[in-house]
Order: sequence, then C-alpha cells, then structure tokens
Amino acid sequence: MSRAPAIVSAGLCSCAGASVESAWNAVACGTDTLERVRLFESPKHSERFAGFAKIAALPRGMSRCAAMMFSAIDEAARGFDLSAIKGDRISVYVGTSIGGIFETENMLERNASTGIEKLSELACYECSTLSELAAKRTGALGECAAFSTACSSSSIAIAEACNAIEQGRCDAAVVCGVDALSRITLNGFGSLLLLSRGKCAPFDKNRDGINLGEAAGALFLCAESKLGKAKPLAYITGWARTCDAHHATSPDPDGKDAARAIREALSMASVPAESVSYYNAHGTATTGNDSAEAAALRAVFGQNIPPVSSIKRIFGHTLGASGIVNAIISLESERRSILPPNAGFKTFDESLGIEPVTCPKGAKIENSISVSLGFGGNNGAIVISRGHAKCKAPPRNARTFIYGCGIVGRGGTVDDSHLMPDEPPLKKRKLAHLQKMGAHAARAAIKMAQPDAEKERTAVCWGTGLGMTAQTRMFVENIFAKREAEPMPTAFTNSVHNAVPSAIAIREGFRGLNSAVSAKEISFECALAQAVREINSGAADAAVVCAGDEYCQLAADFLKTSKYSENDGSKLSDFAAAYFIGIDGAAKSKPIAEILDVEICRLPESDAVEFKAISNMLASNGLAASDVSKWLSLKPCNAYQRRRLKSLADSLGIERFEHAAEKYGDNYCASAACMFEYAEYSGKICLQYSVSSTSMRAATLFKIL
Amino acid sequence: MDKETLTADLKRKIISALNLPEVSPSDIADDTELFGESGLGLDSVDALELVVMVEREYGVVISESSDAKKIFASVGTLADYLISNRK
Repeated sequence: MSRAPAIVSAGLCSCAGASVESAWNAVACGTDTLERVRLFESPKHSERFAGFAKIAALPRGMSRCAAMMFSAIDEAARGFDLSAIKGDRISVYVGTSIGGIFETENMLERNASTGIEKLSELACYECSTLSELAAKRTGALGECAAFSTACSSSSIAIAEACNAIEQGRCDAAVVCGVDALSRITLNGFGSLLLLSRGKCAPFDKNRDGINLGEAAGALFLCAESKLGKAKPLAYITGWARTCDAHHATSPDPDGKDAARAIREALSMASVPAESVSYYNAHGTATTGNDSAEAAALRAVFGQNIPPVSSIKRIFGHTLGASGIVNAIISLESERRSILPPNAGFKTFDESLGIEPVTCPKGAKIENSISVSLGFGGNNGAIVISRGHAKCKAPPRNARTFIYGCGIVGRGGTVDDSHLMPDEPPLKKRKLAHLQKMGAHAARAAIKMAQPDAEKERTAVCWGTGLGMTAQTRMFVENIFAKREAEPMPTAFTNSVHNAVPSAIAIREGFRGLNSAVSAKEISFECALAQAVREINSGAADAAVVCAGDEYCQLAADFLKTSKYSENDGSKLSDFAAAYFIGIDGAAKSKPIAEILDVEICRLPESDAVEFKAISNMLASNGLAASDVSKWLSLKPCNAYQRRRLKSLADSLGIERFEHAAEKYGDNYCASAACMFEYAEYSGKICLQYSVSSTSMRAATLFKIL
Repeated sequence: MDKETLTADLKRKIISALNLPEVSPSDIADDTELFGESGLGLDSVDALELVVMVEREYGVVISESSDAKKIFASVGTLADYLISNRK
C-alpha cells in the first residue's frame, strides 16, 4: 500500500485575502497588496511597506497568529474531512519563526509604561502554543510540534510531515506555517539593513531588500493508502533539508548547500533537472539571498534554468510562513496550469543570470520545486508533482545508536564563563547564553562519540520550549526604551530559535538537516523523533540530538501567578543536553545504547487505551513488558498525571524511577537527562516516558549496551 | 576633531561597542583590516553593530549594506568617511 504523501487540501490567509483563491488571484493579477506599516507605532520604519493579513475575526485574547492560522485551517477543513482518519493517526507540524511575539511585545510595552507586571499574554509567546491550537482545532491526537528555523520553518515542517507519513508514524498530517508582523522583525531586519525602501523587486538588478508580510497557510497531507474516496490535489514527491554551516544570517554566497537541497529533493522525486516545470523561489529581493539562490540555480540547472518566479512582492516575506505560502501557490499553479509571475521585476541582472516569469503564462506543470533559505543557512526544498514519484526508494529501517552525550546544568543557573573553553574569545563573545550551553553540550557529545559520518549527512536537531528568551526580551525592550533608534543586530540574529543548532553546525561543520523543534516538556523527545526519522529516510547517517532552555525571569514570574500549574517557578533552571546518534559505524567510539523506538502522541483519556498503546509499541519491537527493566520519567506536572503514570507503570509491571532528572531543576528539556542518568544499566531495556503539561506523551524505548 | 583624535576615539568605541575581549586600542593600527581572519576577524553582523554605533556617537547614518563594507574596511577608512559626512 502506497504511503506517498498526497496533498488533499489547502488554506491560506494573507495580505491578499483569507482564501487560496484570493491569494492566487493576487499572484495572477499582480495586485498591489503592500501597505505602509501600521498595527503599531514605528518611529523609524513608518514609511516602509509590508503585507497585512486580511483577518476576518480577531476575538479578544486571541493572537494574530492564531486567528490567521484558524482561518487557513478552517478553509482546508472545508476541502477534506479529517474525521475520516483516526485522531491518533493525525500529526500536527507547525512552522513559525516567532509565534505570538506580537502580543508579547504589546505586553512588554504596556508593562514598561504602567510599571505593573501583567504577564497573561506570555501564554501566546511559545511557538508550541500554535501547534497545540492547531491540534485542538482539527481534533488531531498524534504527534504535535512546532518547528522554528526562521524563514525555512514551514518547509522544514512540510518535510517532517512527509517523513512521518511515509514511515507510517501517522496516516495524515496537518501542516501549518504562520508568522505575524511584529516590531522585532521590522526592527530586526531594519538593523540588518535588509528592508526595501519601497516595494520589493526579487531578482531585479535594482533590488534593495525585503518587505515583511504576515500569513498563515495550512496543508492537509494524507498517505495515499488512506485517501479513501478523496481525490488528491497533488503529491509531495521529494523533500530535502540541508544547512550551509556558514554564517548566522547570510547565506553561503556559492549556494552549494542550497543546490544540494534542490538536487536531493529532485533525486528523491526521480525528477531529472530538465523535467522541472517550475521553480518557486525563496527570492526575498535582498542582494545576498537572490545572488546565492541564483548561484544554486545555475549549479543545479546549468544553462537550462526552468521557469522561475518569486511571489514575495505579493505577500511580502512572510518568514516562517513563506515555505508553505510557496508550496500552496506551486500547488495552485499546477492545478491551473499557469506559471505565476514574479511581480516587481523590471531590470535583468547579468550577475544573477535569472530572467523570471513576468506575466502569467499557460504551461503544463508536472513537477514544481519550492525552495526556502533561512537564517543559519537553513535550506528546505519541496517537490510537488501531479503524479507519483516513479521509483522512490522506501525508507530504510536502520538501527540507530547513541555514541556520546554531554550535559550542562545541574539545577539553578549556569555560569557560562567556563563553557566552550576551546572557542577563541573573539568568536565566543557573539554567543548568547543558551547557545554556549547547547554548543558546549554538543561538543562534549561529539568528543565522546568521535564521529565518522559524512558531515553533509549529519543532522543537528535541537529541542527547546522557549528558545532564546533573554535575547528576544533584550531586543524588544530596547526598541521601546530607545524608540527604535539604536537597534541590536547581534541580539536579533541570536533571537531565533535555531540560533543554537546553527551555531553548532557552524562550529562542527554539520550540513545535514538543521532544526529547532518546540513542544514544551517533550521538546527533546520531538527532536529525537525527528533525527531518527531523518536517519530512517536515508537523508542522514548521524545526528546531534540536543535540547535546552535557559532560566527565564519572565517565565518564573508567570508561573508564580499562573493557576494552571503546580510549578511555582522557584526551581526553573538552565539546562542543555546533547547526544550524538547514528547508524552502525557513524562514530568510532563504542555505542552506549541503541534507540529502539520513539513514539509521540496525545495521552489517551483512558488508562486501558494507553496500556494497549504501550503494549503495541513494545510488541512492534518484538518485546513484552516483562523485557523492560526500567521505567524512566520526570516528576509529572500535576496530580492527575502522577496517578496516570503510576497506574500505567504498575499495570505494565515495570519498576518505576520517577524524578529521574529532578536534580536538573525545572526545565522544559530536563527529560533529556534521563538516558544520561541510566547509562550505567548495561544490557537493560528502558522505557523513557514523558508527559507534557499539555498532555502530549513521548515514549522512548532504548537498550543500554 | 582632527583625524588622529577621531581614530583614537573610534578604536575605543569599536572595542566597547563590540565587546572585544583581549583587544586594546594600541592593537588596532589605522590600516588594520577590521574584517577577515588576517585582520581583527570581525563579521558582517559586527559591521551592523558599528552602523548603530556610528549613528549614535557621530550622527552619521549609513543605510546601504553595500556601502558598509568599504566604509568599515579599517579605522582609517571609517574616519575618512566620518570626516567627509559629518554635519
């Protein structure tokens, strides 16, 4: 039965309107959608143009991101009835660079002017708030996570969904990409001198930067064998993710890893370069992006560059949403047999050698490729085809081992002056606290493992609940204090969630998938699941799987006043951990453990159902509960979960070790310490069981060697 | 401010704005390359920090990233630019 990921439905909310139809019409007609900056006061950038989403309803207390995302999801839901698929077989992957930051900015501005610390809007801040909302909206009960790799976020999310569907981890997936306009992105890109003075002109000789935009896109994907009577709109036949490992913000000017992403995606789809009917570009209209992307295009296609266009003039650069916006427009162009024009282009640039499509043109489009290039040299390429891939290699079932580990933080805060001792002081000064912790833990894991895998086939998967909170707060508070006069470019480049994995990639030279995933207390497990899938897909042979969060005063204050959690914030800590994992032979050192399985879903309401789910997981690995020696878990968030865990472990008859990582303090990623703690139980099979405060559970089965 | 005073002033301010560890003004000659491994080893984000510093301290606005590369080649080129662009 074919597990090819089919696109069954789509929805889009953008500055061109609250539907795919209105977005397509704006693209086809070249509608002038960009307006002067509004929504908030901007002393420095009020003359800039941006794309403001046409949000039909913005109820009180709902973030702009959530409102746009619901609009897109509801539109997609009208095209495909997800209730035909079992809820626990539907996963949710959301790509967003900064989630509900706009509401958090409002909160910080208000608190600064009133002097009263009211923190309710912080609930919108976490990226995973959006994936949780998307799951609720659609009834999905499978894996649920947010990917935050800046401008490539939703391309990373689409590829993740395809891996999960193809490998049988879910039967359908809800994929969203969303970002709202905010002061931090406007001032951040302003501080990088990347904002256009007018309206952007991708690939034009006189291009002078980006216009920001805001949007949410939704795609419902389904394994072909589970389509029932539904008719697929198209198939995703190829996907690939690579990293430049070059610079925190600028793409590698040669575009060689972007080219590798394009080649790998086409090769997976069995589409030769000359059969590409349309290339939907990242095309942000900055000097650097368009030139690196053009270099990648020339490297892959030589003299025969396919029809190219960038749609950024219509939607603005929608950051984390831009990948899914591109994918949806590519899908529409295939369905309508029309090549979308590159609005804003006037003057050919010899140095690029790209002559984009300038007016809508009829063409039979069999295979299109859509590309995203994000901060940290984070590249994603997605091939959308009318038909199946011709001869796609099935996923491999590689055995995956842990070869090395490293940990930073043992409760409380970490003095980072002793971290990264090998790093020259000049380079170290640029790293923020969490980057130092993550990179230090990763270096320790790598030293222990002695990697022997190809660097371009080594991934870095980072899990984080809150990301770079200190840098984000510093940047935003400075905007208000200085009235935008003295922005902080370094803090901006360090504020993205993927600042940690890209810092690791730059230092270690790892150029495979580079990801940041956010899912509250199971962020580490989601990063592990992603890395294992990437290895199983055949795209990587090894990965640094790491996770961490920094102590955050705002979060501590928030928890103190929150009535939702027993955690009063007093034990919040700095913590990061890393594991080097890979296939047999991926490292020179002796493996510590073998990862047998990672399964993530919403904790079922009934104990009996969960008992059955865990028993099934064990059975599918040829095990019974009696084979499992140790049960590892953190202290659960509340009394209900404590009862659930106890009851489950008892009924399975597995010896329980709760509080396994209590000495690491309260940290979203503390469960990453469990395996580290139990490395001494040689020969034993362990089940690491984590439950998040939103009742997502991760079950990780591993054998200590 | 003459060029000599200006370059001395710039060296102090660059070190402070970029939080350069183990670097003193006397380590930076007027023609030391600010970027690239052979010189001070700064990168493009440092250049943007210097854009902010120059606007704050000297009131000179640099709005094109393509100009920034030439202007920030060395303390000497920066001083020349400031002298001819200061209001």
